[in-house]
Amino acid sequence: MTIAAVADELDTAWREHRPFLASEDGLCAYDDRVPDLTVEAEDAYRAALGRLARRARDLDETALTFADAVTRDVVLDAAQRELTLLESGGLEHTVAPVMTEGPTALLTVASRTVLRRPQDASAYLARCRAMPAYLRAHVARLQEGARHDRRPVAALVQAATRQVDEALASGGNKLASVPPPPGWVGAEAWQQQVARASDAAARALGDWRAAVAALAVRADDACGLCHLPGGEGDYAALARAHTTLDVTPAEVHALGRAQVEALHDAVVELGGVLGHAGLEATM
Amino acid sequence: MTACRAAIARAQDALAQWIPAPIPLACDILAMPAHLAAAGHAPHYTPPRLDGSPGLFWFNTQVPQTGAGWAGEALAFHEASPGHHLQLSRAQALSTLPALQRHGFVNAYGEGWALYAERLADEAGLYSTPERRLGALVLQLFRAARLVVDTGIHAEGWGWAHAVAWLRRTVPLPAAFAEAEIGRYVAAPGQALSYAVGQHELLRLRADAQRRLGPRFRPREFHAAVLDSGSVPLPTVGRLVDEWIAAC
Repeated sequence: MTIAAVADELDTAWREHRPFLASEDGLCAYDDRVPDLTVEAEDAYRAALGRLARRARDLDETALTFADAVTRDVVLDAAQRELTLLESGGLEHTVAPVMTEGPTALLTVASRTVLRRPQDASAYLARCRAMPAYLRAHVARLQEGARHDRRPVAALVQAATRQVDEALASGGNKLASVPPPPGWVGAEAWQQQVARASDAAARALGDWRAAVAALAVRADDACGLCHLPGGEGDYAALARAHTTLDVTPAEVHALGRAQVEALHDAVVELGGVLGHAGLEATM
Repeated sequence: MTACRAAIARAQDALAQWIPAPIPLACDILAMPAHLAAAGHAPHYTPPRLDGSPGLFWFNTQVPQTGAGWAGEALAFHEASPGHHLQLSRAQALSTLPALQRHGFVNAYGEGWALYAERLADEAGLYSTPERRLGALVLQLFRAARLVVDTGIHAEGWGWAHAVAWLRRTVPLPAAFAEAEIGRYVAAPGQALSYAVGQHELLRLRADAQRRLGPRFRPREFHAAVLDSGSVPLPTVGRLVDEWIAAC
């Protein structure tokens, strides 16, 4: 197997794990899917990542071109980053109105969907119908996290439930607001089906809200990963994964302090030249 | 949005001095969907889609965010050209590379490049007024502050209120925006480190290449070395630059 084939297999596994992002990239083969948030799906993805990383590592380095060696770097980095994200267990302790699975992802789908052909409409209907199961799986993972003392942060739970309340109060989840393909003869029947799927998703959103409101939460003063069991190690791994460098949180913290000091001085100096005294005035 | 369009047009005109052909066409700027804007989503870029939809820079016209006012031009250079739009459009055109490199997104590389692009625009004198340049500096300060706050929260145990207070003391931000930022760092631990760390590494590699090559250093070739293998981790960018230097 070539490194290019391993890279393609990893790309496919990644997209199957994150079909919303695949759709955003314009890959219509994923438009009828939602992420499978179950433990079983995650275990299968973890196994695939491990298998692909092993294949990449086992390739004979002396037989690789420079371009192949670059691709191997990319494969190993991507596999390790995904494994790190899975190991940190964010799905089981994160509720937030941004950048997370669950209602935020659902509420974003409609605004990012444009239907051009009848098959696009069929795929979208299938996706809408899958939303209740998607939200139920999300709740199950959060409840599993809570059983292991990995609880979401109070302020974010409050913000996320407020987001759901506002969506429900303003007519639901917008799933039914997506127009059918122009001039399509099946549009009317399709719109009725999407409306029913949208109602079911709205009920599931209500259920999600009730289940999340019942979860025990973590105090805002303990919002960092270091307050969770194993969180210190998880964060050190995430810092490496997101920077792609072998750095510690303490080293990144020190780099930030140094950059802040230098940039603060530059801001105040230029602000002073422009007649603005102090940092506040520059804003 | 008008100011951002003008800034992007200036950057498009300057692209040929930064990178060799092919130069991607400019991306458009649109107001983001109302419910996203109302929720306070930050301005952002979505790359060209495989179905032919163009790359777009989405602007929040309802809730003022970073990018409104003096920081607007820096944001345009970050999200559009020479930032995300240039990097991602160019990567997508590299048809011999695996999809993982053409369409993947390595945060430290992609966000590092976009923050580097803000600096590049400054070096080329593309900010229209000293105030806009000041806005760009404040945005750089903001990204540096993220390194302190993200690690402060997750490694040093800072509480939410302390993190908000420190961020607002360091970068004078509206209270609601600072709160939303802390929420983001809590929800996605470590993600916010990618911007300033990535830029720092690209600037370090460029300085190193300038030192090693002296008068033979060519910015266009350096940028081609950085960009033309698609999305890669930062240590690999170092290998690519080393390979380019060896071939010079």
